[in-house]
Amino acid sequence: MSPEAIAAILLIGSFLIMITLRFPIAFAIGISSLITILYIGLPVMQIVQNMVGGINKFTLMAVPFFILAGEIMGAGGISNRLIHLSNALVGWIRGGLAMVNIMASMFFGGISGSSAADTASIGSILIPMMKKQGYDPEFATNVTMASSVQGILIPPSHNMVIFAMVAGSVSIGKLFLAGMIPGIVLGVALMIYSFYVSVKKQYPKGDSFSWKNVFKAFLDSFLGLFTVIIVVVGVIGGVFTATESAAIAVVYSFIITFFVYREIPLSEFWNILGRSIKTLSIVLILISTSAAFGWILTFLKVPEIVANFILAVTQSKIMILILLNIMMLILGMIMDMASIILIATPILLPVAMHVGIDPVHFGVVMILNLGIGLITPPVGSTLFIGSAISGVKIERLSKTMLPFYAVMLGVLFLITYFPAVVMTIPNWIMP
Amino acid sequence: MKKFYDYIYLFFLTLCKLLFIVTVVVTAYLVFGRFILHSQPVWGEEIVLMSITYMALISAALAIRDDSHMKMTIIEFMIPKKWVNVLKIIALIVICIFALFMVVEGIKFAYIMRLSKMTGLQIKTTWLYLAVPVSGVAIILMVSEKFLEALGLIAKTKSKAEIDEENNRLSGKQAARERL
Repeated sequence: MSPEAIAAILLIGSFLIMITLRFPIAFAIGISSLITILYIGLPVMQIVQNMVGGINKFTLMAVPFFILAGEIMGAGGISNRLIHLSNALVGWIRGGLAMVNIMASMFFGGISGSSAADTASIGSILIPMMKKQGYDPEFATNVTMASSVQGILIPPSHNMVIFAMVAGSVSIGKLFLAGMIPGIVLGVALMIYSFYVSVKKQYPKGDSFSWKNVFKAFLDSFLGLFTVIIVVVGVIGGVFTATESAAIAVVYSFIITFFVYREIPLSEFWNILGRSIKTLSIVLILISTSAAFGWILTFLKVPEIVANFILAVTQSKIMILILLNIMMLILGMIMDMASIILIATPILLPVAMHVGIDPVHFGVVMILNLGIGLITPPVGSTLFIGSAISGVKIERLSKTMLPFYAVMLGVLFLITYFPAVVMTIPNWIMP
Repeated sequence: MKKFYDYIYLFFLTLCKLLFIVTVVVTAYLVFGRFILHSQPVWGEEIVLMSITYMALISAALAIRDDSHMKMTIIEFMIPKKWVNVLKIIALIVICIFALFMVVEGIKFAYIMRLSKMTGLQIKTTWLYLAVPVSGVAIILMVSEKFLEALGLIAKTKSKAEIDEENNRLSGKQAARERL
């Protein structure tokens, strides 16, 4: 066996052993890189250089800014406004609150871009309301968790920025546009299933539809929703870069929250900063150490070896897509989203591109796969939050979630094998 | 002793918050400069990147105290709790070794980088790379607290998961109360 092959095994093997033994992933990545670089005999300072190089990128700045903007809007009372707007739009349908839950997640996703934040803020309001109106606690929680996955598809999504950064030469604007239709399709599919359950179980309707209510709720939430317009139109129109639009979104959401909505005092900003830093403390170090890991992967030609191996098994695009989906679903079940994007993208993307899959299409498929992973046991962060809010045990939620998984896998199948669902809008607007 | 660690944590958290504010304000000023003033300061992008580098690396230490770093917890369902605690201690030792590496090699690399300059800020690139050893020191401090906790010498800090669960329950109950 060549020294490069042994080094590759050492890199991936030591990493897998450490994460299995419950080591923090960011450090497992750094340590396996260090062990491998010592084995190869390269200067260990390469790790220091790559760790700084990985985060010392202006494009990356969009990630902390989107997270901060989402935190500010979330704390400033936007959730209630979005729920009112959703209630005016779809609350009149049978199973009104389930519909409201899904639609509010669709809107909220455009602001937070996080499934966990969506479940925590929308869920803490709607799950108790749904229970009170006679919905099964399991159904109420499952609707909240499943619909929260829309948040990572609908722009702006910081995970898409991370993907674009790792993939290289992938337009963030195109990725944002590509996530829109899959996010909406997922919402509609969940609404259809929820309607079916609601009719069967005779869940209540809300107030009857009125244009006046819609208009009033829209006006009330418009300023908050305008954040999405700034980001999406700014990036897609080429007016701003993703980082610039994210910085504007932070300033804009700061003004709207503290000087227009004024539901929280200005002093609360200090706590919001703290919460954002807690999220970033997990994500940024991961990006930093992954840069060193990625550098060694490339040095050892691991992506090329994996691509050759998979392509030796099959050259069929359909088979490779099935294979990639299965791999990403399994990875999503055991690891967190950002880690997988950072580690698996450099390995799997070349395989996908080799069989003619557009990197933007692959990015959206990957995000949905990993989004499903957020609500599956044993390691589903959103699943844990849903369980904590509703008080329903994870085992019970996982069982009752099965039909929702089926709906989501149906949407995944659709976007995987019908690339037009993903690519039509980006190809049309940004050819 | 617990107080000492509280102050250390507060110091690093405050530092990260201030760096984050600098990042947002300077980036917003860069946008303002580009679109309104039609000129951008040359130091802008460099100061933003330097702030985020320090913030990113130092904040990694904060997540050690909260025990919120991403990890695969599947093994917790398979082995007794006693062994999980042993694994936690082994992980802390390995993190500590990596942090030491960050301190030693970070200083060496920063020293080498004294020969190059950041064009916008007109300072040595050493300052950028010093973020690595500074973060290494912060991580060692936070890991040492975890060791003392494991040895039962100081009270246990609540993990992020425990705090989140508590907050979520509270917010759920509060929302329900508001509805009533």
